[in-house]
Amino acid sequence: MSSSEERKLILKSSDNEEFVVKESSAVQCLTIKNLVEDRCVSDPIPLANVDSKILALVIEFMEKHAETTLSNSEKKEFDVEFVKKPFDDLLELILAANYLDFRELMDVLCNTCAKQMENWSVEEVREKFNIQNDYTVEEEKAARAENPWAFE
Amino acid sequence: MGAGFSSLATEKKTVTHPSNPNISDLPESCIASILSCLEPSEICKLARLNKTFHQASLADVVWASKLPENHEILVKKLFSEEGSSESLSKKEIFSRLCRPIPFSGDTKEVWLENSSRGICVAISWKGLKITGIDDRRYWTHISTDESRFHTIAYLQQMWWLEVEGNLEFEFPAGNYSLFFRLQLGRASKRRGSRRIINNLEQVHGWNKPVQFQLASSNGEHVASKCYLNEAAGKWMHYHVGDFVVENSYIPTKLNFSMAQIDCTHTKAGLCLDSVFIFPIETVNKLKQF
Repeated sequence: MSSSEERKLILKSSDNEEFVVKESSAVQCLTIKNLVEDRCVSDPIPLANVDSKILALVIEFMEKHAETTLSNSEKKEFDVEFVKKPFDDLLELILAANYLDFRELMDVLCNTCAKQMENWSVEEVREKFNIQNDYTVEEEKAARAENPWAFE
Repeated sequence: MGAGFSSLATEKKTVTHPSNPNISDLPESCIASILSCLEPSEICKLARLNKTFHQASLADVVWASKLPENHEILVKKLFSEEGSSESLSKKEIFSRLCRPIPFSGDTKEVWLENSSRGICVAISWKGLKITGIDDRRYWTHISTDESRFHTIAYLQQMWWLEVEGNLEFEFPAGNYSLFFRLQLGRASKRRGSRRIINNLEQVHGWNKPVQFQLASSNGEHVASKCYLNEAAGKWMHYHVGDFVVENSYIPTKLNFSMAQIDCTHTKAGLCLDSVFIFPIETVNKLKQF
């Protein structure tokens, strides 16, 4: 039987919205876990680098993955739907997961981004993701000649 | 987290319509995490996107998961002239392991199979104990491009075919298969022309099976009999058996052999190249077997 006295934490986004979460879910974020273990928890915990829109999504993921009644395949199904978001949101989520040190979320997001980048040519990826090429012509030639072993 | 991250956060607060976050504005550690989800060839390709991606592609975290868990032992054993493995980045270790590394003189090679991340070993006939190998009545040694060691042993004629070998190596934990690479009949190349198969008339004595054996230090022992009279003139990998490695940190000792010592008939016309050891995943992927 779960205790009715589940410890709760309050997380505050950069735009001052407050979210109540179970401590047991929140400690999936090592940044928060360390605060809890070092007894440095202020009330609420300010997360200066995460806005409310993104924090709400992080909490949605966090709570789903903390549910002990869900099987791994159910969590995977959730993940598949969760990452169907605009690419910009995925980048913001990566930044948040990095800041919060939330390994599971990071892995799912990085995998998604990686899959979107693979099997395109370098020029196509640059165009698709608006990546500025800061190589000179000589540097680019040298980079092309690197790592022949990877393509054998 | 780095400067890129905090400047992004500042941008969001001060600009009413923030410019879209760009993937190359992510901290290098995040880009490295994305790259580590990809295959080596994709990583090296995306490293060319820009300097940030290039720098991120060099991070140890990208390559560490692609190395066998005992790679530090392998580096000590195989790169002895480089000093300790601490001086090499994980990427350098990976790139060096992907190419065949000779050991035991020129008689053996080891490499990391790119597609399946498994350690593979090839042992030339020169690293095996072959009865009568130095007697030119029985065996000749032929230089050829058809072997990764550029040499094969050709059995002209002999009653007693016996080939034995052993290996002690720190295989990473997993399941492996051992093969003899053999061909009946001797191919020869005339300069400028395609490979021509001749001397098939000299092939005889293979209507009785050859015995193969494999024993490993974890107590496994496999023995089998196999007929070699399959498509002559083609190199074949004859499967001797499988072995399991449980501990990556203890050397696995293997003893293996092939023999046909039935003295009622002579054997002739066999090309012996080498013994191969592959992880089972590689065997399934390469589909040559």
